[in-house]
Amino acid sequence: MNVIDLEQFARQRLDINRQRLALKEQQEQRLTVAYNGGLFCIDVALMAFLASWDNAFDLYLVDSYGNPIYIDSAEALLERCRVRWSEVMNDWHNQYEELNKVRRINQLDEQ
Amino acid sequence: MSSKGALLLATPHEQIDYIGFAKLAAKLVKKHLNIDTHIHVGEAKPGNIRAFRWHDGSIQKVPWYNSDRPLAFDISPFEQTLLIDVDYLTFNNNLKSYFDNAHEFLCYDRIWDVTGTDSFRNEETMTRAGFPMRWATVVYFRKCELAHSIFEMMKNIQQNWKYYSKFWGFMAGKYRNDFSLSIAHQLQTGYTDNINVFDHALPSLSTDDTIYRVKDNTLYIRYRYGETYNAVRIKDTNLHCMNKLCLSDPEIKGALEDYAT
Repeated sequence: MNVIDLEQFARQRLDINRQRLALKEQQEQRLTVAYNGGLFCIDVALMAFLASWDNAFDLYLVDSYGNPIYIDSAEALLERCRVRWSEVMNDWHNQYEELNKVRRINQLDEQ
Repeated sequence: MSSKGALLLATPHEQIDYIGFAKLAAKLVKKHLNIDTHIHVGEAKPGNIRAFRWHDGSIQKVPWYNSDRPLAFDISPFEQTLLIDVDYLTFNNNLKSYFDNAHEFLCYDRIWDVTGTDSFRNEETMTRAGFPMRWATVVYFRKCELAHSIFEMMKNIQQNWKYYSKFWGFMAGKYRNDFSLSIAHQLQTGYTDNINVFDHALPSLSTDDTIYRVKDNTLYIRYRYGETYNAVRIKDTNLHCMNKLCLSDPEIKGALEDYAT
């Protein structure tokens, strides 16, 4: 690219939809947590289930790889999920808000 | 606790600094995964040639030294190994969660073009008949029977490349580890394997697209969009950067080195 092309590139309207999808994929990849040899994708259903589980009963959950994993403490797994969920959703939200202000490619650098 | 670490295979090359890339990739692994790294410098065995089409439109034909990957099991000094390409940039600790679990062997079965332009649409399957593709870019394995048999199978495929190409129905032009792994992975697991794969897609950047700026943990990527270009920003995201030309750019390489150290 020569200088003129670079200038045009910087002024070009940002394709916000692709950027939004890229952000979604980046953050979703982070929404996993390892527990007792299993790997779990965190979602609201898992967290709601763990929050409502009566700890008087043994709990086994099927992880992302289809393996039954013994959960010795639903509270401990829920806490891990909450920490990761908050971290990822906070980043996602912040970056999404920043992106909403970007109209041109050169503004990406200013965030 | 068993030993765990990342293995990087690099070969001296006349035109592309694979060893420099390996050192950078190892630093990024150390920074984010905090595991040991081992760079194996292999012998440049001539034979394979590969043509790269870079983002500036130029086409570069270079020797392609990729014959060591089936030896990874024998080379690795670790009980649990993360085998990564030297052009794989680690920007988060996601891969750490696969260690110390029940996994024996993991590779990617899906690829994510970070630009969202579907650059890898022709590589979603290995053959036109739809044989599923596996990516050798990042592989996790334990020193176990399954991993051993997969790598032994890859050696056999490498030695009998023309036979396998005719049998599976792909062009035998050059040996490719992704194809070899795809076949070995399926053969050793009964053609039904959707377990020994990572649970997310491999973030990748094609040779046509380029990193144009690095700012700490953020990569700014320029991609071709029809007749023009557009940009996407990724943060804290691992990336298989197939565009070695942009990784060789002193400004980009310098910024990545600064971030890694």
